[in-house]
Amino acid sequence: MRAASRAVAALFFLVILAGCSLNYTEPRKFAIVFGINTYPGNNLAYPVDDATDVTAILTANGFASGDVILRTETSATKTQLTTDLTSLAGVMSSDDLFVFYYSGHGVSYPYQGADHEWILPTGSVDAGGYLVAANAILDTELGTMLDVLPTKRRVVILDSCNSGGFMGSGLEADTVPPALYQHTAEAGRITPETIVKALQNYAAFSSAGAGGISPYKALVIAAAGADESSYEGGAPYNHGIATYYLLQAPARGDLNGDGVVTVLETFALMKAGIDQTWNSGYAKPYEVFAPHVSGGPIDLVLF
Amino acid sequence: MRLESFPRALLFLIFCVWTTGAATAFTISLSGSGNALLSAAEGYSAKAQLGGEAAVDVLIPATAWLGLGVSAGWLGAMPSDMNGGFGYRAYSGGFLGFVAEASAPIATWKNVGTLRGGGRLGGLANVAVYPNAGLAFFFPSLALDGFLRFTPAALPFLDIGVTLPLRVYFRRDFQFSGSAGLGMSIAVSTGRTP
Repeated sequence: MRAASRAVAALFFLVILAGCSLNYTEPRKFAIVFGINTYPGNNLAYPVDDATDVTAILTANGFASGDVILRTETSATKTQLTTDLTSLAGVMSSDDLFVFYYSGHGVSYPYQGADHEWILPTGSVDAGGYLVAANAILDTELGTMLDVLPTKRRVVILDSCNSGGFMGSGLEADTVPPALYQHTAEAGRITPETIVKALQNYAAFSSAGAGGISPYKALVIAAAGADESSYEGGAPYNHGIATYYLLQAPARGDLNGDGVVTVLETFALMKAGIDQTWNSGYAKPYEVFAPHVSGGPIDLVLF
Repeated sequence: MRLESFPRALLFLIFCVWTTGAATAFTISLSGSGNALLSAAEGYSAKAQLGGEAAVDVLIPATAWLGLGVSAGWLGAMPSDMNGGFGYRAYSGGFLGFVAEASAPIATWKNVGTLRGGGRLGGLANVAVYPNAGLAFFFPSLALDGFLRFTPAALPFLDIGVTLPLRVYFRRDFQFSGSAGLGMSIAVSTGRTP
């Protein structure tokens, strides 16, 4: 009878706890923002505008202006990113939030005999248009670069082609295919294959992840799947399509009305926007694309 | 089997058991509960989430006090609060598993009915998704329920009950995750007549 009383007491404690708000210190927020228009023979139109406007929404929504580092064109290099990360590591604490935003080219290119995806900061493409691997950032490398930061609360937002390759494996099976135009009908559906994949991931689970950035190292929002392009557009977008909706997140992203905009809410807004406008009306059939987001049980407050 | 056809398959299973019920006694129960989850991921503090379950169980009596069967249903959890800049994601999904149930009469009132008390132990396989994210994941769980059920004397095939469901979720991305709740059930049994 005493055990039963304890169980009932524990139950009521849990029910009460579910309605409680405990006191937490709100984190300080830092960001590094990259935008690159200029590539040898293959310029983009909007990444610098993307980066500039993302910096503006961050500083207008909880990020101190001194805590946001904007790097565009020649200053947006891999070496500079390493330097900036080391610099931030000295001032950040374990509860702070870090955001890395990148707008520029991305590519799928083999490395050491395996398929990999890259983002291409300035200096990573030579005059002939070839990849300079030492100056590019590999999908498995970015997570390691972020390890210098003392916080685990890291968000990576990539508006670039093939950026879904930066999504490291976790417990989850992604129901959105790596190339939406090839598998439009299957997108978002739970099939027996999905369940089998989820079972396999459970059996082989490792928080270290594989093939990209572990969801336990950073939450990644990728504009496109590993096997597809993302796009930029003129009016009404005048930005990368994914970034166009990211920029709306502070104003429209609080989907559940709790007063904050999280990574998942931002992703949901971006995905719905891309689906309802670009994929439905503007794009050619092979130009449709779908953003992807990391798994893991954690969601982080962005704005 | 596609997941979309799962409800039809379940209804067919219930129909089969129902139509062959004359051969063997069995119980079909519908239950629903609300619960409070408490979870903690590595490097993050514990937070609570509100959630719920709805289930259909089919049990076949092994003895006068023990029943064995299957349980299938829906589960879900709302997002936790986001205080401190982080929270735990909402999810929803389905489960399927085996349950064993033991019960015994606590009190009988002539012409009114019988009150029974008991417990259930089950192992469940869960597949859930994070809303909007398109990400599906698997985790097993342990069900440990206590219940009280009232059987009216005039309707001896019917049980109406109150349950106290406890769950331990073996999620590999949490250091621990479990829930406690409060629910109701209604069950129909064959083989009992007034």
